[in-house]
Amino acid sequence: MAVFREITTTEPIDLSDGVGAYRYIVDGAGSLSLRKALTPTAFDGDEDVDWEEIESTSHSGAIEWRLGVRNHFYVTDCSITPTGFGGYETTDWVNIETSKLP
Amino acid sequence: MIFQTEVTDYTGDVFKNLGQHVLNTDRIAKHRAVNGSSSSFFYTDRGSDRRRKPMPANCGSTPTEIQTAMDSVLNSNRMPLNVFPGNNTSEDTVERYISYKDFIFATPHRLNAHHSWVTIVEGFKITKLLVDSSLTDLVDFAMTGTTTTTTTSTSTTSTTSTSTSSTSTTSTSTTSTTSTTSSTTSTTTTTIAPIDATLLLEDGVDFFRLQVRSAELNLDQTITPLGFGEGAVEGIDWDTINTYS
Repeated sequence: MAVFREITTTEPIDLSDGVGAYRYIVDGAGSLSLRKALTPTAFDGDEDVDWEEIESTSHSGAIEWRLGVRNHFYVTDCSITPTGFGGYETTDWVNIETSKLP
Repeated sequence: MIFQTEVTDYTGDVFKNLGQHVLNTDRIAKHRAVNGSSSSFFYTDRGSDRRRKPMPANCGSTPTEIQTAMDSVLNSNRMPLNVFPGNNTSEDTVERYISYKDFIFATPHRLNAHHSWVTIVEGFKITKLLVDSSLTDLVDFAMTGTTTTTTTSTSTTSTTSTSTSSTSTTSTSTTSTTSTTSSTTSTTTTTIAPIDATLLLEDGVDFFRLQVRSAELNLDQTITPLGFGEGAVEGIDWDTINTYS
């Protein structure tokens, strides 16, 4: 069984402990952007003033992104066709990154 | 009415786990002091059903603390619960209301302190629900109708004002000197409103989490069955794969 959390331009993942705040969001270029808040205005404000991008992951033709667990790995995938994650790997979506403890 | 305590011992089948519980004082009978700082009592999971015998249990609260909880007044007789359908944390929660008289006890979710297992009685059936609230939130909401806000705000204002009043001598001339210096410095620091510090991603076999700790975003993975649970030790039960900051 695999479990995922999808990310789009309108449905980011926001995480904050009250001191630091981070956001995973798909930006206008279709890249997965990890942003860090710099001021209390945070992601409602301006780039490099209220927030900064600390990581950007891109893939040609990427439409939507997801984070999840599959086959014992923490994975980052992106869809590349309108069928998206409901379709086949490498045809409709591709794995971009896998992580696990050594 | 309800209060949080450490259950230090148990007998019978009321408590499945040791550790932190939220208990219902209406289900406690014959509480008495044990070892000065804890209590023993009988706890019932079926209220007035005489076919079920109350279970003896110990907890880390004194009889006075239990009595205080018994005397406290609920904000409402209805308990709102944001329940995960099918106990699946990847599903959106469904709001459900129960009566506090049907609340038996609650324990924390082993892997996510923001979730709790709430055990309630429904007619003749005992049901266990996974809810999107911590034990602290359950108690806070029961007593105040709201959960604790952890937003921190610091405001500092300093004002320096120096004034010299005029000196006037009446003759052929008047001398008046007035000097006023005023400056106001205002510094306001408001921290970012907390949203949710943790995103748990698990498939029942492998457990990962994205968590903001000390202003850093961490990707963690569990190592032992205790995982991210209470009392788990970093480097033994779980470890960090990557840190983003």
